[in-house]
Amino acid sequence: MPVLIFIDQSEGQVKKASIEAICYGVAVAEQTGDTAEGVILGKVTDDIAALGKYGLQKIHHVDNEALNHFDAQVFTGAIAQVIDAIKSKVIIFSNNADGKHIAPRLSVKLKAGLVTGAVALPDTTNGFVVKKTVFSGKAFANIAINTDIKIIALNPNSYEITARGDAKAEILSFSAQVGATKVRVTGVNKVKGEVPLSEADIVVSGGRGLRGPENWGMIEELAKLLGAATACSRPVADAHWRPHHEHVGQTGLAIAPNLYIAIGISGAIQHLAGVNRSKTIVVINKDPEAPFFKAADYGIVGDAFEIVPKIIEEVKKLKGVA
Amino acid sequence: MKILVCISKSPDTTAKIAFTDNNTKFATDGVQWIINPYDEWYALVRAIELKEKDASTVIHLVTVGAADADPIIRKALALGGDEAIRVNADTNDSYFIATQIAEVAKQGGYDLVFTGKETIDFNGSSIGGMVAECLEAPYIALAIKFEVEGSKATVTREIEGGEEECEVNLPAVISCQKGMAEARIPNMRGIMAARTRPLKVVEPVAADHLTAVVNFELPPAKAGVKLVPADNPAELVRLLHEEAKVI
Amino acid sequence: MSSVFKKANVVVIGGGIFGCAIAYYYTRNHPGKRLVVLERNEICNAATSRAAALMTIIRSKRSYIPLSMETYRIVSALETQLGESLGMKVVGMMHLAVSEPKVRELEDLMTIAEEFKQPAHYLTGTQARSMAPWLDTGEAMKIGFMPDEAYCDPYLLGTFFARCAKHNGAEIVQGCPVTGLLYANNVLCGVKTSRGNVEADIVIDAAGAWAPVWGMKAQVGIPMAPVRSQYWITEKSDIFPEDSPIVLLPDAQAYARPEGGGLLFGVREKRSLYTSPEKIPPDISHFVFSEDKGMNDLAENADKLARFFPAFYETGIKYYVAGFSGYTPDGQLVIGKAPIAENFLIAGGCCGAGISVAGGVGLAVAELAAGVRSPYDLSAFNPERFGTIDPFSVEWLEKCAASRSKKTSG
Repeated sequence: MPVLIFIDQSEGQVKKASIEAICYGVAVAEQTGDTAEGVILGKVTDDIAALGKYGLQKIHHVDNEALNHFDAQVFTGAIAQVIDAIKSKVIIFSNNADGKHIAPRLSVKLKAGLVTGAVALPDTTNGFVVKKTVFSGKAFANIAINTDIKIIALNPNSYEITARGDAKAEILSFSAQVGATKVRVTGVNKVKGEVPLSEADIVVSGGRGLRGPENWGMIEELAKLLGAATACSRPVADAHWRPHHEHVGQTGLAIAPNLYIAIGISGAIQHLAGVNRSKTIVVINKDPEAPFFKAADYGIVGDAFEIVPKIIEEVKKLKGVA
Repeated sequence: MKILVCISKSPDTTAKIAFTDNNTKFATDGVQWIINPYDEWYALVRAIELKEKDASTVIHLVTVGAADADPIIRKALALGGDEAIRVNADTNDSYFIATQIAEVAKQGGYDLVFTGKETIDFNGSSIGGMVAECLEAPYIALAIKFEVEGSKATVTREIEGGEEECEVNLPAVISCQKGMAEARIPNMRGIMAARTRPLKVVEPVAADHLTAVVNFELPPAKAGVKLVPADNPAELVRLLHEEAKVI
Repeated sequence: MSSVFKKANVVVIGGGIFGCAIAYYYTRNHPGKRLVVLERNEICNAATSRAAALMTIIRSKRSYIPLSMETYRIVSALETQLGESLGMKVVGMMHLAVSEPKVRELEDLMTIAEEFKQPAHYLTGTQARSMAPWLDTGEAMKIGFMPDEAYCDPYLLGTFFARCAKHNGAEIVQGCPVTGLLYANNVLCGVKTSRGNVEADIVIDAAGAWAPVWGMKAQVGIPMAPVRSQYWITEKSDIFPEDSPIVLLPDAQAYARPEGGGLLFGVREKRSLYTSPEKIPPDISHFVFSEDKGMNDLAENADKLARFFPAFYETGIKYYVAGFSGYTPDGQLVIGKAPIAENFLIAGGCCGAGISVAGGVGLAVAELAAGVRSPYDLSAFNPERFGTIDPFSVEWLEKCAASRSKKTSG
């Protein structure tokens, strides 16, 4: 009973998130003593046989014109037929956009328990328990799947990609009955807009310690380099150094980025209320007694006007920007 | 047009995350509850905007929860919505919840079901897709734009590194995120009107639970601040890159 | 035996705005003497930072006026010492009276303003509306305006006092809870803390809502009770210009001021929520003051507010802020010494005006601690004016809470 991995592709090319899912699925198969197989839908240009190097033995390719555009309902139907044919009991998706469309539908169709946002291999010592992120990354839950067929959607960037040699996967053409699509794709736009503060992964924020709006250039430069949004403390917004929509805190926006860099902010409790769910907090402040240091993961005690430009230089080196 | 908006109760974004009963339950002491922001700011507000364009639109809200969800659904009614339905069940199994919502949707004959893209507590992002499968309806997740004309909707959804625009026939299920609508704030007129809008409580239909929470874990406690000397910012950048892996 | 953590002339329990102001004046006026402030969490992070922070000078309670004038005056000294601006907003305060009794109160206020040499004049409805576009002045019988009135960021003011006090040599210890009072031969001689004893000649109880807990340990029933203060902030709108004045609506028992493009406003609830000082958790960061964010209280008063604020029903209510203030039955502070407890000074009972009076309270208590006469007449604030009371009894708590519900001045 092979573990089946959904291989997500875009314009014929396999997505990185799917390679993570393959590596994860192969490891699950090792755990349960099964083989790992993949399913891919629609026209493919990549050499998918090469995915064998990650430990995938077979790939079921459903090449049908109706599958060249994404429709979750149609895709779900096709995948369900492959599962039925190979009697797979564990199905792996990436928890990316397409995975979020298909996995829940498949869960209902097969009446198979689903865990999305998985971050570790299942614990099969007593049942089948999958660890997932909850509370937007601030905690984990271990979820038991109590059904015969189990579906896991793996969070992107949570499982390492490792090649295991240079074997080729066997490509098997699978002919599925494909239903009529109810979704017509009319356009794709690959450009993404500016990151809104509430959704930003990285936020660079300035406080009164920056002395005036004319000193925000370095904050903006650092933010741009990091692909970050900019924010500020309340006194800064009150003094009109920055627009009010950048104000984070109790009476501003509450945010939870992966990285929050606070520059010249003392860290009053009202400010912390808006940022204390950030995953990593960096504080740069000249006052060693600033309360923010207690909530920080990393800190530098010193003058922001000397330190921030140096950080910008270091980030440029890291990102390979001249 | 009839729209069903799914509403979930979640802890305030600034709530302290802790667990009790041997880490099997979320510690609710001192927690302020809010409408799941994706349900409120995007799903519900977009529905309200559609009603503002076409006054004949009817908006119903649905939640699956115990009586302690009532203040949250009243708050949602304060923003807008003609009536609310609470399915009286306390669970976090997505399949069970989706089955209940699908049942309400079937009974009500809705043209559209809106959900938030995920809840901020369970981060499942599964309910919309499951409801769609139960209804055999098309499903567009992570929608950032939504327009409707007659029985056809134009939806823009987020894909990796961009956006995709598509057309879909109603009825359909849509999960909503940032971009769908401008967040609104309830005003006093809405708050007072919400008190008299109908809130129907129905008992759940029989359905299985496919999953169960074994327990919760917190990430290892913060070790306290790691101070980097002011003359070595390179070390900070290295730590953020190699240790924290955030840049 | 506990070890000695610190020795000082004065130890202050509580690093709120009162504790920080006392530290500032004591170290400024009495160089060479040592003062330690003990704060169990972080300074100015409980009631201080949740205050609406009106810095009202002109009020019917004359006893407060010299204290508030001192706060107003000292701001520039603090700014000079730190080389930073506090960003105090001098937007003026408008009083709108729509009934005979409130007109008489306003006329009294205008007299008081003259007495204290503070500018004040009447406005026409048109003038008032042009300053506060959200306000309906149609029913106004008289509108008074005091152009020098202001508000500020209360946390910032508290930390300005603290930072200047530190420059002057005060020690402010954060994260250090007081665990008991220290006695030698039945004479108070300091406090016990989690880090050891702090020996001092004078102990000042500036613990805010928790003050009566320490009072009881010194056998003093401090005549105040923690009563919930609450306000709301609306969403942003052009009708709330940031330079628009503070508005008092005594007929609605409400006040309002601009805040971040929205309107911050408070309205007296019919029954104020109170609690016993013993029952407040040591850290109120996650304390739930109101499950419904005060919406029931607000709904109860909606018509009263809408009479003056026609857009009230349609304006989004964005934030709710609540905290505990120490209220007294007569609305006067609790300042000074209770004869029964030697070496024990009290600075409490702010009655929702703590930010406004912080300067005067700081100066007066600092002088009392140094054995110098207070520059102000403190008789109205005498801790013993109610006789012997039990500050934890329901009867007493209700009496204090009622004094907030009746308040009309903001």
